[in-house]
Amino acid sequence: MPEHSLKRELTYLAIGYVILAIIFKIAFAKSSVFEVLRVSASIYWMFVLPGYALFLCSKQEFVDRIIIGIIVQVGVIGHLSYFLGLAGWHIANHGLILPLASIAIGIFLWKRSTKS
Amino acid sequence: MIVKDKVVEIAFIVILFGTLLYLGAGTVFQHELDHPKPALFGATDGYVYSKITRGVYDLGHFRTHPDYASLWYNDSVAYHPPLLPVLAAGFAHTSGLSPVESLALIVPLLALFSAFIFYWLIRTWNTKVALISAALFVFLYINNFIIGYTWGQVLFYMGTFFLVSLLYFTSKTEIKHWWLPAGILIAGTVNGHTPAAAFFYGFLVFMLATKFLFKKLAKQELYWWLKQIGLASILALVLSINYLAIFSSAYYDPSSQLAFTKPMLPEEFGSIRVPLVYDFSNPVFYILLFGVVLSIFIARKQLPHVLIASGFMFLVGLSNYLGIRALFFRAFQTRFLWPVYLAVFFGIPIYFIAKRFSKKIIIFALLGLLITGFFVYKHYHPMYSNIIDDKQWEGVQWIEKNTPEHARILYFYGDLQDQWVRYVKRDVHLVAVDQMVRIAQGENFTRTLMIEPFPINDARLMYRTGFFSFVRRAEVENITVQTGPFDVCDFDYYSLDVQTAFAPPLIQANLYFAGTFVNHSMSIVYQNERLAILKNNNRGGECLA
Repeated sequence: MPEHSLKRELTYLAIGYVILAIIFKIAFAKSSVFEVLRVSASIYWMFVLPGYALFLCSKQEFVDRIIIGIIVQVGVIGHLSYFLGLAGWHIANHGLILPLASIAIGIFLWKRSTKS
Repeated sequence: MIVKDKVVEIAFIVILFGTLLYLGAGTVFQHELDHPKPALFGATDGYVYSKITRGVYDLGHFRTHPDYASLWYNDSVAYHPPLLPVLAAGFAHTSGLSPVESLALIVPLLALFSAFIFYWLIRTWNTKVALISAALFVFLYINNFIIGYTWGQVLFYMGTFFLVSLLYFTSKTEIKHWWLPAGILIAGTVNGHTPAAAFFYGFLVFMLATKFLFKKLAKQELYWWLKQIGLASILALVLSINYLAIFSSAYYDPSSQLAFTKPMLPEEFGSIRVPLVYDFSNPVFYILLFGVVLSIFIARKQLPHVLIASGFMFLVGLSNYLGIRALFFRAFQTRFLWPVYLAVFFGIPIYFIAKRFSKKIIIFALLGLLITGFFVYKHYHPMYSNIIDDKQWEGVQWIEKNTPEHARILYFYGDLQDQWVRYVKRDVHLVAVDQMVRIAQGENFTRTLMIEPFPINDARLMYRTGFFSFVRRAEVENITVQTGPFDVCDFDYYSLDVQTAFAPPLIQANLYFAGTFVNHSMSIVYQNERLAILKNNNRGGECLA
């Protein structure tokens, strides 16, 4: 049963977002703060948070879970988006909705693993 | 003490990630996320994939290419590996970037994530070696290594991301249900850039063989691998079967221009500038060689996973010398990631010297950053494209806003136009540059000129008739999808540049055509300092005599 401190790890993720936004603001210095926040938030929303959630149930260290989570989430959202597009669901909303599905599945698996 | 080391390492990663983002994507974007024109790539391939991504953004799927990219057929199968266009278009919708900006940002991010996944792989063996090795990552944006990004070899970076992920993931065998994420990642290589899947299976064989040779493969472990890889491959096949069906028809046809048929050395290869080991510059080159030799000695004792991975990918990059024809282009592409794959060979010799003086993490982190700074100072030159002139882009915008959707547009010579003009959202054609040169040299010509159309054409406008059956429309119906003879009078609009930085005689020829067209019932509908756009009021009628 994984015993991660959710509160502590979510704090890490929040700090990570702030750092990413600052790095983006430096690399794209001529862009507005709003634009930088939106792009870095999109990266976080589409890949980082769902990736983290997907591997909440794993016993790995936090950083290992984040790395594995992100790479698997890129595969999950890429494939889901491709197949749903083939099925006729316009891609415009995939980036907003599909990460929710990964987060929901991740939380479900985590809850199940903490019960067992 | 351990906490302090972690803080040092996090600071190192943040500084290096920021530096690489600034030098790579930041510079290519000229430090601005929002651009008035899509001039982020420097060569044709970048604009092909920009056009494809724009198509997915508009259509909302990657089943077919948009009709304006397929000579107005709306059933031409989208035959490129789907993941990158789909991800880039989805990211564009979510982030508010344009499809081109999204594509041009995701690609370097994939390269950076690949680099830091590899850093983590080195770190699982030795943190101090990883801190020094990471300095080599900066070569992603130095010399010929940056060409992969700026010239638009974008699919390669998608496949490589999953390949590197798998190289890392194969070191994480303790994960429960290993085959499940592995299956998704293998499918990612197939649907991201298919050769990466072949490299992964090659790596598995190489890894097991190496472990066997070094007497580090137990029978039980072999069974575990066979079972897990078997299950993962089944899942990957399920996720990839649709694209594999398309791939086998689009790319494996012997008449396809994508079939490689003759051996090539790096210097003979024309499509891309092939990175060489010498591109790392002299001292680094020798350090790398020394690192390879040291690695062989280390492997005899420990056999760290990262050395197997790096050794294999180094050999893949040299596989053009093996004489396996299908590998040539892929070997050359793989070299764009050599700054990542070979990093550990760079780090090992310096680590052995540095550890004689200090064992503190902070010293190795500072050394890594110092070497990075030295490489930037010594070798880095900012590189951004800007191959579309502002006035040329104003002409494109006029065409996309003011001409009918199905208008047929002919471009005459314009500086670098042959690289990007395919991006225009119309049925675009371009008079072949060598045809223009012959005209400028005084060669007689008729109204039939050699002209290049720009549909997305490698699969010859292939459409689907069954799950595994496809028809190449251009071959069956004899449609010209590559440079060929076209009637110059059979177009709705003409765009002619009147300024040039490179080829005044070709502009003289443009001016001749413009004058002649105006005398044959064409009217100037738009002009600026750079170009004029003419409307043909009698398409198909006489326009030259």
